[in-house]
Amino acid sequence: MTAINVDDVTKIYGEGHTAVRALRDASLELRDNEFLALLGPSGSGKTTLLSVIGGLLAPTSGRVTIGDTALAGMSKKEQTRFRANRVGFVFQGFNLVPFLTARENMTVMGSISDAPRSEIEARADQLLDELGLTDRKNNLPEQLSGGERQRVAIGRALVTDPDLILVDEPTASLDTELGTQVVRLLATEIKTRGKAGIMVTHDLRMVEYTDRTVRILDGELLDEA
Amino acid sequence: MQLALAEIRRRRGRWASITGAVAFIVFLVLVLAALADGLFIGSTGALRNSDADALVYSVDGRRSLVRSQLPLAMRADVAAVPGVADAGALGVLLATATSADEAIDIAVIGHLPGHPGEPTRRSSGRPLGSGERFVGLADESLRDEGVALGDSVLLTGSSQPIEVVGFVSDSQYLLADTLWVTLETWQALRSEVRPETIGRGDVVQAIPFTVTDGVTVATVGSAVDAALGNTETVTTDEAILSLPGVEQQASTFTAIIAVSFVVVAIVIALFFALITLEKRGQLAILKAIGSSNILLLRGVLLQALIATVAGYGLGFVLSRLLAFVLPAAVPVEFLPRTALTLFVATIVMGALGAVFSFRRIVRIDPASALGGEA
Amino acid sequence: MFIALRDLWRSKLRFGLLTGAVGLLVFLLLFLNTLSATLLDFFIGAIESNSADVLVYEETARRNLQASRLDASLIDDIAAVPGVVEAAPVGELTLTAQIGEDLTDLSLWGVDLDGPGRPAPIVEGRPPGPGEVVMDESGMAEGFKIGETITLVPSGTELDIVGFVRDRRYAVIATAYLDFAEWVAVFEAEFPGTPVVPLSLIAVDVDDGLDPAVVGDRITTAVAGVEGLDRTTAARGTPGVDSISQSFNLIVGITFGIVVLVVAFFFLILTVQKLRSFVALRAIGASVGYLARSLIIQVIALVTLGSLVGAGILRVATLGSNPAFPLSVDGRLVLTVTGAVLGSSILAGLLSVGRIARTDPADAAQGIR
Repeated sequence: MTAINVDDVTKIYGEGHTAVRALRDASLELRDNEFLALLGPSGSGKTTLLSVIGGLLAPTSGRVTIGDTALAGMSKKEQTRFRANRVGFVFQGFNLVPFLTARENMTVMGSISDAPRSEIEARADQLLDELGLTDRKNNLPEQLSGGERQRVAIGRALVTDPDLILVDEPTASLDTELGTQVVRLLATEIKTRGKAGIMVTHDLRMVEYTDRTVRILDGELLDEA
Repeated sequence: MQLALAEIRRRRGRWASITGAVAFIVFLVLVLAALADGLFIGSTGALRNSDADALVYSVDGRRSLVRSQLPLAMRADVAAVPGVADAGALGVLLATATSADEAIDIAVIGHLPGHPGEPTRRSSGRPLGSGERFVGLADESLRDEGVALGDSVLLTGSSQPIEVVGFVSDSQYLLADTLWVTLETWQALRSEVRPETIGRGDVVQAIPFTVTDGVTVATVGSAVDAALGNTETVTTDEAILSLPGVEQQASTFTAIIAVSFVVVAIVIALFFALITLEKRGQLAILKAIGSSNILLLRGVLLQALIATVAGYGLGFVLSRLLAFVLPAAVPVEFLPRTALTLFVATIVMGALGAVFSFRRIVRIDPASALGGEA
Repeated sequence: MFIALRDLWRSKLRFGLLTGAVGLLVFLLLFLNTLSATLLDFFIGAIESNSADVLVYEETARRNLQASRLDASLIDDIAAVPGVVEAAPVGELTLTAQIGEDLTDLSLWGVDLDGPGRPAPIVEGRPPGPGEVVMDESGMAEGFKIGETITLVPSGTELDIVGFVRDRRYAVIATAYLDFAEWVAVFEAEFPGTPVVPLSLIAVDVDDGLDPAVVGDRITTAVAGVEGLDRTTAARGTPGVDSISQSFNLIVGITFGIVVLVVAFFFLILTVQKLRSFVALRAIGASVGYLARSLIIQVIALVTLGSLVGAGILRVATLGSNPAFPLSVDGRLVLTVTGAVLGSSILAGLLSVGRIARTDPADAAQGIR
């Protein structure tokens, strides 16, 4: 079944002669259970594409459909709920909440998404275990290493059992070994739970864990390498 | 230095907030102080701007200018005590008068022109002559009630108008406007306005006196009390504080102002601590690239100085503006001395707050700059 | 709830300091209100809580009891005004009294013990007979106790204290009530040879169901040279009351404004500091409403805690208060002040909510540090 359908999407930032065309007529399709690597140099529009798919940014033209839901028709409120319930984000800057512990950064979703709190808490504990964070669950982000924070961010993205996982440069601040470990973990989670995932990266070594690679350059999608 | 200034420029909103907070607190304290000063000044002018060194009251009058009663003849006894240079007399009559259809409270104060106890700050018109009847010097505050030089004031219950031949400033008594007349006029008015006092004969409320050079007021006061018996002599300063309510007001306001100040200190310190906490990452980087603690402290102090000075300026202007919209019933007086004291205090408080927050800078580990994301 | 409480807990120092600041400011508010209430009570309690419905002043006295001087012949004229049930004389004289070894000020009121203006209700002891007075109970602090004898100075008249009334102090000094006829005798002893004994007021009871203010106006119109006022108007009109209440209102108003501003500034700064977290939370699906609720919960927690601290300090401060000037914690005042501060602080908190609403959740994806 088609999980994500990006149809002819263009995104332009700004207006007039300062306008920047971040995406040009981008089209992409992703099935359930598929893990896609989006490969491209910095400034190529990777993050913009991810934001458009995740309902964070409205495209200037074109349409995005997630499952059977068209993002364009949603109100702001519906978009917020969509992100809370159906999308798991792992941002480049991790964006953990500094005053929440590792476990709380995950369980906070219990009050944000519509999923029952008890379910979230149970899944958080399970994820903490799977991600090897059980010993660190009561630490604040500032007490965690870069890799640990990255894993907490992944845990937070998975804790709501979303249909869609969007990951931005998960390995940017990790060494090769840790990076590989994190991506392998992501691939396992996506595969075993039957989700669709997109990982933005510019690290070719990570591609082997994904099902498919799409290159992006100056906002244009180029087919599989 | 350059950094501190640049930060204020770039983070205008935040620094405006701090300045605003400081301004409002300064405003509060300034207005409080103005009220305290206003009450004090409006209550005590009659005694404060007197040339007397001390006042003699009757013991049972309990230092009250209204209740104390002494025979006028005692003035000679006081003057005869060694060390007394000259003695006068003071009589107070609380009355009302009608001016421009408005009733006003007036304290009519009888005194002996040319002798201790007379008001010293004449602002216009001529002085009173000795024994001159039914003319008076009005306090400047009576001008606000529509009384002008040459006008006459008629007390309720009296048949004799008093012509205002001069004005004196800052001579109010317990927030009432004063009208200074000769003792003779005062006696005539009193028997008309307060006929029940006729039977008391030639009494006055207090005998103010000056002392000769080289003797202390306290010594002479004791000598006066010893010579006269049944009197209580107090220095003018004591007499001022003994006026009804004055000391209580002073201590109440001191308490209120003190509490406000504690709050100022805490709030300013809090703001600076917050700002510093927020800049921790940035300060760590500065330390990593070699800034010394002293250099950073100087920057933080400079910022505190700028914020408190700006806040003070704003608060000062606000308090002055308030004076325009205040109802007349609220006595406020802005004294430059009070403003200056508060200025110094605010800056010191700001600096202390900054130093408090600075302890956090000292503890920052420059290496944390390399740790990156938190 | 989730975020709000954890944030509070993890920033204990910050919130603690602010709670302290708010607490002190709330204390200041409560203290000023209590102070002004007590002061006004002591100043005009005898008028505001008088047992008469209407008090009649000399017209030119400007509602100043001590400047008001009425002739006894007016009582009959006033009693004849429609709506007046009864009119009775009231005399006030401030003099020096000796109680034990101490000399102190005393405001002595001569009233019709059974008519309008009677000292009632007696909260302790019994109504006065000949040579006896009842006192406002606050006089206890100055040494006026039931069973003691007051000696007036200099006349030497002796008066026994046999009872207490409440809230009937006048001009911030100890206040005693005795029969009018005896008061006249005291007055004459105080001013030997006086040709007149002026009344200070004429106290009036009005028919049931009639508005005292209306009857007061009728008296003002019908009888020349007098002004009839209901108790509240008379009390508020007393010279000096305006100065006191307006001065205090001014300070209270400014302090109130500062509490709200401090709370507003503080939360704005905190919000700006946490903006990145808020952006991230919005990006992962937290609604602005949810974040706003968190913030408002913090405001409520902080102000409530601060108010408790303020009330606590007031409690401590009143413990050490001078018995001559009783300051007490008025629960209703605490609630009113807390409610007002809370309401305004929540409004101030909306400023920060606005700041959160202006963030763009898409920024989270940009990885801006």
